[in-house]
Amino acid sequence: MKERIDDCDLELLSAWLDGDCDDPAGLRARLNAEPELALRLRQLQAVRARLATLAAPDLSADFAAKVTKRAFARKFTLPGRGFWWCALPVAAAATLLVMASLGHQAPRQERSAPDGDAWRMALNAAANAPDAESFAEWVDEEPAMEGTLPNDLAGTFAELSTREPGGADEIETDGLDANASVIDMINRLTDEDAAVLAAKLRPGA
Amino acid sequence: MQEVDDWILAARARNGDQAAFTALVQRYERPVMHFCARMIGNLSDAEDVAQECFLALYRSLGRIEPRARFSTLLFGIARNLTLNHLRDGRRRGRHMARPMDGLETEPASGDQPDHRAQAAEIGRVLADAIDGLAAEHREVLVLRELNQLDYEAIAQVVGCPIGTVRSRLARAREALRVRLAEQDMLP
Repeated sequence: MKERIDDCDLELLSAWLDGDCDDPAGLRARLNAEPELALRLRQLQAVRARLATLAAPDLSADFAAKVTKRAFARKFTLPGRGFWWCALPVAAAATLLVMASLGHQAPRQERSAPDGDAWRMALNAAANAPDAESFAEWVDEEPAMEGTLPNDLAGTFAELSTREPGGADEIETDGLDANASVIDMINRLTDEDAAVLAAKLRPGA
Repeated sequence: MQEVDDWILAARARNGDQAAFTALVQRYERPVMHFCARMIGNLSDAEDVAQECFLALYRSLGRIEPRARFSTLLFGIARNLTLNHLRDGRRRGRHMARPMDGLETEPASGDQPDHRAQAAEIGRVLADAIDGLAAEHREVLVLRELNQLDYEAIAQVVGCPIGTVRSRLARAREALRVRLAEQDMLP
């Protein structure tokens, strides 16, 4: 018989409450022989009974509808202008690499080449972008998007490039999903659209 | 009629079925809210975090695989968000107001007014005691006692061995027992 109830006893009693006791017969024998242990068990049972009476909080009546609406809303928040000035060149460089690798895989017909100067400039900027790492992390976290038209993308970039510093960062578009992966979008660009994008990246465009 | 499996609803939601997603939210909104409220101790913040939890679930629908129990995954998200919320609150030095009125105990039907008052008092002490627990003790207690998760599920949600769950739970229960005993609220 133990003189004091220790941590092991408490774990034993706690497990008993949950029906998870490894040696129920042994504990039963101790409970019969140790009134203090038996009292402790009764008290823990009382605590448990009190916990069961704690009320679950009320939710707004339209909670589920509200969450569903938010989840399915085609709305997204873009990072600030400063971020995009770093991120766009990185994205452009990624496009260039993808297009170059595609060029080695299959011959293409009737495609106009992107503006070489613009891409060189984008690559340069990407190499010097201070925020390339956080951009890459952001892209990694975003699930891929489906069905976005390249023109939507170019339009969004155009809108960003004309935005005043400190202006609202939130943009709503009709066809552009919040959780788009920029890389995924760029992978779908045709050379013509890529050239449009490159033009947007040119200073003063 | 048999309930549609959570993962089936999740798959439908992933394919754009809004009704399936709503059904999933309705199925888990109260347990998730209960968890968030007890972890955060503030109803309004808890509802915001519960909303974020379901939005995070929606965003991850394309990536998650039906390997574990759905509830384990959902409570894992809720747990991360509540801990982030508590951390952010501490970082900003914000005092966490705890307007939990009306949340203490569920009045039993037919209770006498003095019994009701006593039950409410016990509820207040208990809510306070839960609030005073360390977060790692509070989360296992809430998941076990209020959300009825078993040890294995709690271990998955919290990311620790079952033995750790067992000892944290024992400590949390003992802390509540001491608190109620101090107030002469126990046999």
